[in-house]
Amino acid sequence: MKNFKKPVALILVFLMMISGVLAGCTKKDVKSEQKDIGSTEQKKDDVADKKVETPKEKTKINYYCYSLTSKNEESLSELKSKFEAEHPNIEIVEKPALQGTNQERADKLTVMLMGGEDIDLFDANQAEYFKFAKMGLYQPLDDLAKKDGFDFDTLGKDTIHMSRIDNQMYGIPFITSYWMVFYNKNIFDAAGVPYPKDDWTWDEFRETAKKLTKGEGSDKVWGFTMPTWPVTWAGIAMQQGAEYVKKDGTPGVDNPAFKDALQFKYDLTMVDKSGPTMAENKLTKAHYAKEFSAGNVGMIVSGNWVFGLIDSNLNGNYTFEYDVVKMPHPEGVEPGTTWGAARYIGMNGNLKGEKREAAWELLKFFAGEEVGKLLMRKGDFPAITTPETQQEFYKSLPSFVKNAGIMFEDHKHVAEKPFHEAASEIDGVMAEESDMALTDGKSVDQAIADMQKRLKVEIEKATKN
Amino acid sequence: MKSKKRSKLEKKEILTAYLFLLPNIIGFLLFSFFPVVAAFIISFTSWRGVGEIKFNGFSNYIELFSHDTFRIALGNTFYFSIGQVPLMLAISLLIAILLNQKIKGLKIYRALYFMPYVSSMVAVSFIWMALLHPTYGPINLFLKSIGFTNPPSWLGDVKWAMPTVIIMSIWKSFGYFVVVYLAGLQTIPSHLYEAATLDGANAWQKFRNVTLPMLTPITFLNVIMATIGSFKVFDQVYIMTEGGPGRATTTIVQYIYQTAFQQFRMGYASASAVILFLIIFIITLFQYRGQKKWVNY
Repeated sequence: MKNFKKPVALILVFLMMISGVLAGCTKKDVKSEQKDIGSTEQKKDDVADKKVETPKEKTKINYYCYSLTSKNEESLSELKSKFEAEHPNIEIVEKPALQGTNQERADKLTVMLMGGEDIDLFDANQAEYFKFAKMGLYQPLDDLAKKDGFDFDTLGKDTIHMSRIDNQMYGIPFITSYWMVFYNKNIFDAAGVPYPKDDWTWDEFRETAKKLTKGEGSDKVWGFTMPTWPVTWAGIAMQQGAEYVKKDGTPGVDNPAFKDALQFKYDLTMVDKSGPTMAENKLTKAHYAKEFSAGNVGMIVSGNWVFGLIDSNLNGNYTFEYDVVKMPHPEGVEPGTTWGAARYIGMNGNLKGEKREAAWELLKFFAGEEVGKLLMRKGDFPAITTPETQQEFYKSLPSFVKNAGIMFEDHKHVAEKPFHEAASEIDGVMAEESDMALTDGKSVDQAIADMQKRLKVEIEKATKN
Repeated sequence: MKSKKRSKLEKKEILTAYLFLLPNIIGFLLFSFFPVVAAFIISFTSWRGVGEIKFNGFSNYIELFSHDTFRIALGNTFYFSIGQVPLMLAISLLIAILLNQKIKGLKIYRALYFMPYVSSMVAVSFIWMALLHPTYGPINLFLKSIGFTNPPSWLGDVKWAMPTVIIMSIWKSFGYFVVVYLAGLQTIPSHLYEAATLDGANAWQKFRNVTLPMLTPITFLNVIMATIGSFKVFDQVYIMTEGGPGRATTTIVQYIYQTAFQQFRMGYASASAVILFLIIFIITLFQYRGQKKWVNY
C-alpha cells in the first residue's frame, strides 16, 4: 500500500497544478469580460442580449508592438479602446512585450515568430522590415490599399519610395525619426558659451564641445555625448550624399567622406576628449539620454525620442533647462540636413480572408491621426503630422523648449540605415570596424578598408540567398 | 522455481528503476537529444527559422570556413580556453592545498571561495564592468593613485578585452574546482606523507611526488570539465563586451547566437553549432586517450 501513496500523491499534485492553471485562465477571461461589460448585473444582461443578436464572433487580432509598449501601457489601452469603438467587430489582443533593450525586444519577437506563435501584426525596424518581407513573414499590402483607395505616399514620399521592395509595400512606416542636437542651457551659461544656431557646422560643434568640457572624476562635465551606433559618424558622410551601398549594389564605404567622418568622431573623443570614448560608453552601458538627464553633459546628438526619455528619466523635475537645435552640417552642405530611420508595422504573411481585412483596418489606424497624436505625446515622430498632432507634441514638452518646431520644417532627410536586405549585417560590420578604430585597435584607414572588404562579402551573401 | 521468482523481482526492480529514470530520460530526449539531432539535420539546410526547409548540402559548412568572423570566433574561443583552463586549475589546486591546512576560520574561507561560483553570471558581469570602468572604476582609480598614469581601459581595449574576460571567468568558476580538489586531497592517505617524511622528503618533494600523482584522476576530471565549459563561453561575453571591441572577444557561441537570432540564419548557425560539438568531442576524445600516460588510478 505504501508504495502506491507516492504516485497517487504525485498525480494529485499534477492535477492540482493543471486545474490551477486552467482556473487562472478562466478567472482572467471572466475578469476582462467584466471590465468590458461593467459591474452591474443589469448591464451584463444587456450585453448578453446583444450578443444573441449578433451571432458573428469578433475577429481577434493579436499584435506585438514594441515601439509602443516600451513607452507606456496607457497609450496602448487608449489605442485599443479608440480603435475598437470605431470597429466593433474587431478585438485587439496585445502580446506583452519585454522590458529591455530594443535588441532584447526584437529577439523576443524572433523567437515568438519562429516558435509559430500566433501574432498577426508586429512592428519592425528598417533592417527587420526588409528581412521579414523577404522571408514571407510580412505580406504585400498593395491590393488592400488599392481597394480602399489608401495612398501610401501621404506617409512621406521619400520613405515610401525607399520602402518598396520589388515595387510592393509590406508595411506601414508609422514612425520616423529626426536627429538633432539637444543642449543643456545651464552648462552653456556656466561656461559662457553662446547657444548654438540652427545653421551651424560640424567644426563649430567641435569647438563648442571643447569649450564645454571641464573637470575630473565626479565633477566631470562632458561637452557632448551620442549613442554608440555607427550612424553617429557615418551620418556625417551621408549628409554629403555618400551611401553605404551604391546604386550598383557594391559597398560605398570607400567614399572618402566616410573616412573623414570616422576620423572626426575619433578626433572628438580620442584627441579633444570632449565626450566619453567608445570604450567608456560601451562599458558602462550608460544610456546617452541618462547621462544628459543627469545634467553633466552639454550636448547630445540624437533623435526626437530623447524628449520622451529625458522626461521619463527626470519625471518632470527638471534641474536644468534644455533646448534643441538643428543637426550641424559639413561645410558645403545645405544647413539642416539630417538623418533618421523609419519603423514599420506589417501583417503576418499567413493571414487570409476576414482576418486579413481586419488586420488591414488596424494597419490603416496606425497610419492615422489618432495613433499620430499618441506617438507625438511620447516624443515619437509619426508618419502623419497634422497641425493637431503637432499641438499634442508641443503640449507634452516642458515650456523652456522653444525650438522643437524644427522637426516639422522642410528639411533634407537621409536614411540612417541602408534600405537593403543585408541591413543588419551591414550595420554589424560598420559597428565592429568603427569600434576598432575608436578604441585604438586599428587605424581609421585600416578600419575603413576592412569595412569595405567585409561589406562586399555580406552584400553578396545576402543577395545570393 | 526459485530462480524464476528472483527474475520476477528483478524485473520489477528494473521497471521501478526505469520509472524513476523516466522523468530525466523524457527531459533529456525532449530538450537535449531531439534538438541536437534536429540541429544536425538543419545544418544541411538554408532554413531561416520560418517557411520552407530547403536542403543545400554542405554549402553552410563551406561558407563557414570562408567567413572570416567564424575563423576569428574560433581563434578567440581557443585563446579563451588556453588562457583560462591551465591557469584556473593551477590556482584552484593552490587554494585547495591552502584550505586543506588547519587554520582558523577555515569554513568561512571555503564558503568565500565558493561564493562566485554560485552567484549569477549576469549580476557578476555587471559588477565587474563597474569595477573595470576606465575612468570611474576602482581598479583604474587605484592604478592611477599608485602612479600608473595611463592604465588600460580593460574591456574597452582590443588587446586587453580577452585577458580581462579570462581573468573574470577564472574568478567566477574556480571555486568549483577548489571543492573538487579539496575532496581529492582528503582521500590521500596520510601514511604516504608519513612514509615520505621518514624518507626525508621536504614539502616540495612531498607535493611533487605524493600529492600531484595522487590527484591525477581529479585533475583529469577537472581538465575535461573546465575545457568543455570554456568552449561554451557566452554569458559573460554577451553581457560585458557583446563580442567587442570589434570582434576581439567574439566566441563561437556568441557567433551562433548572432547568426541565428539576429540574422535569422538557422541552417548556418546550426552548422557552426555542429562544428563546435565536433571540436569539443575531438578534444575530449584526445584527453581520454591521453589519460593512460599521466593519470594514476
